[in-house]
Amino acid sequence: MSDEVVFTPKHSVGNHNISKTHPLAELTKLLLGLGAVLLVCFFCLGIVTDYLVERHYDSLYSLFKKSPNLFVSSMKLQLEPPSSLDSIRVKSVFDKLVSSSQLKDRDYQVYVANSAEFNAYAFPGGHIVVLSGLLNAIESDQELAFVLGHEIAHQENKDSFRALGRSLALLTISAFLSGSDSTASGMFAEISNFANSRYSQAQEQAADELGLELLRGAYPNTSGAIEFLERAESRELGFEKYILRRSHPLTKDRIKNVRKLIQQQKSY
Amino acid sequence: MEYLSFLFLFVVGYVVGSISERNHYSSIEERESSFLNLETTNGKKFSSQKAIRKSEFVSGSAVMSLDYFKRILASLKAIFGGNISAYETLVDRARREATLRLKEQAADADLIANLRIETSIIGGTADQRKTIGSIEALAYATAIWYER
Repeated sequence: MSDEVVFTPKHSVGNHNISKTHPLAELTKLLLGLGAVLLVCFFCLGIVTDYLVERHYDSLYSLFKKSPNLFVSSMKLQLEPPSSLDSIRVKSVFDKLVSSSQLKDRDYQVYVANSAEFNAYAFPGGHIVVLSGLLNAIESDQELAFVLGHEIAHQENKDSFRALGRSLALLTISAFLSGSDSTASGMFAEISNFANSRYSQAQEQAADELGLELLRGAYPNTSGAIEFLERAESRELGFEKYILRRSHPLTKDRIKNVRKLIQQQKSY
Repeated sequence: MEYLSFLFLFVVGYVVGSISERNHYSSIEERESSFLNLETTNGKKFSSQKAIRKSEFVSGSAVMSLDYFKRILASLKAIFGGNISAYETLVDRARREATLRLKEQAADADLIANLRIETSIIGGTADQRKTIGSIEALAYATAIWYER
């Protein structure tokens, strides 16, 4: 029995150790698969968001109520302390507005934030923030009352939640799991880009309407509303009209609408 | 701006990578044909009838790196699973190149016995991802010359 092993040279044909698929074909397949997965996630997020706002508004509200800083810092703003002159002024106008209306039981909080911008925000959780830029530009408490009334209306109509869009689902999950003042939630708040969110024309109109009503309930006349809107319009530079359109309808239209509402009220 | 540099690396990686891979394979196949008659085995037993003149330890190693295109493809695959064809050619080429370099060491030997191949991962990658970047294949064996 020989332990001689016979050696036969073999020329291998082809390469059996590699796959036959072309790398570009494989890449296309993978990208399409990934795209499909992302589409499904996008769709599901939309459903979850609608469900949350419709059915679980109260839980959402209390989840975000404790953290006014969440959205404020996501926009790189800082709140003034409640003892500052601005904060006291805003609080007194707010109290006057709310106490003479059916909203006196609401627990909305008002704050002032330092910024040269002429703006005010209504954040999820009942937080209303007026920027010092706006406070310094207006000339009467009635104008301030209209602004506050407008933001209160957004809170009442749950607009701030809808404006977040699909980010709401992510933000809620994060706030629920790690608390609304965690770094993770802060990150999600930045992603949701509240600064650029847009309220619809209908939402803005409803806010102006309710704002006007609140103003009328607390002050002798509603001229503050028109004064404020005209001031806002005069501040708009040519091109800004169209940039600001992102977050508000054309101010000219708002003035027209409010004038119409005032006329309607006068005829009652 | 980041996307532009990504796209650039991606395209360059694909083009240059495919060309160099094709060239490398032609070189490998050519050299393998020239070594066709060199008996190679991973067994430890060899003929007891022939007297051995000398025996030497021989080795060859090769380091191959993934191009950017393959790296992205592999990371996409990492999400969905399945065989990663990008790594397959990498490992295949590295091993065959290492074996060829080993054979070049003892081109006139009568037998290459006890051939072993070991593969290991080397180094970081172009964009700091935690995927493999380079592979080193080491082939080592005993080269035997029989008495004439």
